[in-house]
Amino acid sequence: MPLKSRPSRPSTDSLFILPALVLTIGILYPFFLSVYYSLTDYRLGSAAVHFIGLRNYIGLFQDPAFWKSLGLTVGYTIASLILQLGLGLAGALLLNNDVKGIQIARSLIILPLMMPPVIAALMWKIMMAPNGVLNALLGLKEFGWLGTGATALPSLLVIDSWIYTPFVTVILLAGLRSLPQEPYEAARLDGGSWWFVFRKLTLPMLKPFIFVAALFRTIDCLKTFDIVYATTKGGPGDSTMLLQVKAYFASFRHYSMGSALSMMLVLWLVVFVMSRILVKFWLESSKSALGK
Amino acid sequence: MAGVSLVRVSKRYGSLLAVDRVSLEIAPAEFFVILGPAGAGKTSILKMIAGIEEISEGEIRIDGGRVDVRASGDIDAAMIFENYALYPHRTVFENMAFPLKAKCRRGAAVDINNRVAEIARRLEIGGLLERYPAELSGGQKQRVALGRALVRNPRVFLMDEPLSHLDAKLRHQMRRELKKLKESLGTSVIFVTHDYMEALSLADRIAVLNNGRIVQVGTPEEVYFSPENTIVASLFGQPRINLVEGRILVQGERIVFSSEDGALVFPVPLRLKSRLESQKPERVAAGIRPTSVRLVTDPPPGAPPVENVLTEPSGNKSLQHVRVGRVSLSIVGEPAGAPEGRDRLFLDVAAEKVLYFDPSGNRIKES
Amino acid sequence: MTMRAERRDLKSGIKKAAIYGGIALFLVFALFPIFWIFLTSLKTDKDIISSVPKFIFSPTLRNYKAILFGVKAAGTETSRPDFILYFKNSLMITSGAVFVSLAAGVPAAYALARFKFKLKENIAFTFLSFRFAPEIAVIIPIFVIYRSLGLYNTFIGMILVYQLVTLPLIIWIMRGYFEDIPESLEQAAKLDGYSRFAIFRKIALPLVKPGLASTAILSFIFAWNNFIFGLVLGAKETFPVTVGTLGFISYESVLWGQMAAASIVTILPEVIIAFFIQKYLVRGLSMGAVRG
Repeated sequence: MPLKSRPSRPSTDSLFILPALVLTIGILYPFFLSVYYSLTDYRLGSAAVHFIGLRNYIGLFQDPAFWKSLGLTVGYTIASLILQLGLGLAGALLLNNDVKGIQIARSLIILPLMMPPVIAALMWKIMMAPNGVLNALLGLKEFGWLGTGATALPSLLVIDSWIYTPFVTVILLAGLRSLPQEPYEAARLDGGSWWFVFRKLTLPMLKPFIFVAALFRTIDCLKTFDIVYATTKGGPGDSTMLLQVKAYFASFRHYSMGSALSMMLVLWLVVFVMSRILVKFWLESSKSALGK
Repeated sequence: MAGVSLVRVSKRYGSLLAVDRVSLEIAPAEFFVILGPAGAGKTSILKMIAGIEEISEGEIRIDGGRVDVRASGDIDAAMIFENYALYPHRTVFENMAFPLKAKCRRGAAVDINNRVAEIARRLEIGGLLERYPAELSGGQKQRVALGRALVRNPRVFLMDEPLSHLDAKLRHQMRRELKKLKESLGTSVIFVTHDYMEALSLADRIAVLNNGRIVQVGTPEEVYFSPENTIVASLFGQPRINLVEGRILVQGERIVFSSEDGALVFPVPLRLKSRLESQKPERVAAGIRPTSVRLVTDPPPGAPPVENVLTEPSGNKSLQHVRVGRVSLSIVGEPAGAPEGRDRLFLDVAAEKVLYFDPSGNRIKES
Repeated sequence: MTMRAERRDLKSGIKKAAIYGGIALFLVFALFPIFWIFLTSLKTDKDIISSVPKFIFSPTLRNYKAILFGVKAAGTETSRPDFILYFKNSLMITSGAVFVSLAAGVPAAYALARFKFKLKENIAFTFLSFRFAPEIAVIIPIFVIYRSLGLYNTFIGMILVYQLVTLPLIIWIMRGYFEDIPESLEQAAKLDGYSRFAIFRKIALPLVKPGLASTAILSFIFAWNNFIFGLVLGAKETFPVTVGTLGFISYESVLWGQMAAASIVTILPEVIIAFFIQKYLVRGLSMGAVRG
């Protein structure tokens, strides 16, 4: 017997997803254009565009400035992860106690996260000025945190952590609050120390959340732009020239779009690879946390 | 008033065959129950009739017309879901009026207010019309779901385990009300459940479903007293029917059943005598209902003694678990429990009522 | 009281003090910069650049007057009167972007949640992948395209680009909310004869209203905070307030006080909103990876 399927209305059904799809294609087109341009010698304002194959990429890999930038970006990301995951976990553990006024604390802690990173960076720029309040509180005289090569990137790290540690805290706090209570009650009966319970119970069950937080922080740190542009613009020298900042200047100061895009596509690849790895860890830890 | 027929209907979920070539004929105005354990495929069948699921193979007809190729709204069947599926953001009145406001029904001249009020009155939920589902009890929600199905006057009612989330007392009450409703409805009802008591009490006919296949279709009497196989026999009855492995022995004029170790022996029913004599299957299973056996102190000849009597009083009857040789049996008896005294107890089997099953589980019937 | 009871009380007392102390530490660190900038916005420029940062000073509303009403009203020497314009720009761009994303994204989210069709997960992943891409990679081609199409420095252009920020978020979060609705509700309506679109409008949409509101607010915040798109694809007429605030820094002078005031005004709406959506934050921040 021929199998007929029920009549639906394919026209109205596809209308649901059509607008989003159109927008997506509108955005995908530039992506593909990026790939194309990265293989050309396109310079803004010049009419001639020549296909030069992988020359941009080769040039990139032979340029020590690129490697320095990549190194700074990756290093910055790793340092961010360590600092923010650690502090974020501490914050989540603290906020996981139902003491009086905890709700207000939880609402206040997210304020740094809610404001534009540019504004946050400007705030810190004011505070980190040589005659700024930071030096006053530390008892230092006239030290330019953002203007000194050795301290510029660490200072940006501080700003980044100020903004985004609450993000980690919020995610981990949600994780802590979603954990089942029974294992803890059993452990308490068995008389385990706090550290033991934390290591053997809390941490493994919290792993999926840690990986989610790590995923988003990794992606965003690799792509850092706002904070750098608002404060140091890559300087002093190129001690804070993270990849996306470098690409910006390559495009809009030096107008070499082709090489800028090759840089960005490499960055994209790094982001993609790191994401895949972290997502894999996340999925695995999700399964083991549920005991599968 | 419509009859429903399923012709070799199958449903596949990926590589899983949930429903396997099921064919059923449901008469107009019949209360038809599909009984089976969880995962047997009952809900899938209901959803396919309703048009909520696609059929992998076969045809479904209502009143002779094919419905498996029509959109749900055109099928004119109403369904009551296991957890009622009431719209939480709408009042009881709006929930019940909802089916009547669908575009496809706009044309029909129905006074919505009156109709809803009338159905609400019949179901005794008239006072709840302005409440929201969250404020209702389980039984009330159930009635609203019923009301929502009734307002449409559908050709077929589909009910997916509607009573399973109610507590025991409420369940009995709702069962009585459904029976009353059934008389006045006059519409076909297809009722799905895993509770055999519901099936026996409500059904005109029962279809037993196991692993996606129909095992037996029959009236409540037929499935209880004449089960097709051990699966059906085990399904009905609490405690379950005692299945004793053994063999048929010919002792001169008598044909008897003997358990494996020979401890339990009793004659076969007269009606099966010739059948078992001529085509003597070596091994059989004897199905002894807990109600077809009792304990006595004054045994008829051949009645074996029992050991390890464990009594579970349960109100108006008592359960006894005994052993005869290596065979364990459950007996349902009088509330007084085991007969008084320290006398030895013996097993008295109502041999005529025993059912017999061949090695593949099918019941041995008189030819 | 027994010795043991006393010790227990002491222990829990110490624990509580430690918790409060830790939280206080976090809160001070999180809120001090905001507090300091607020103070700064009330200082005259003389007070600001004094070599010793002042906690005690006589406050003035001059900076606020300057950015809101212009030079004359403030009586300051110089000012950038465009702040109001930039604020309006942000309002228009952000609202427009969120509106478009809701219109396109919510039906798409429903389709992803309920429909069965080929390539569904591929399309879903594509929507998500925009989160991973470095902005510059997209901006350069879009920059070129916009200039040729005349979309550079237009509101429509900005609203379209901002879809990169708002659309993935809305689709992924709302998909989760739609999936949370029990299917039996929609099946019951289907049986009653309602079309897909009617079910979407009358059953699904009303049931996700709280999630919808919080998602819209969250995407508003992310769009408001964006910096790079406005920087590259806009000019004075369309600069959002994030870009505008940087304008207080120029080669001649830095108008610290006004910059501080502008920062406070910029973050004020978000700070207020943050209080209300605190509950729904987790789902939004993690793009639905964490239920919360």
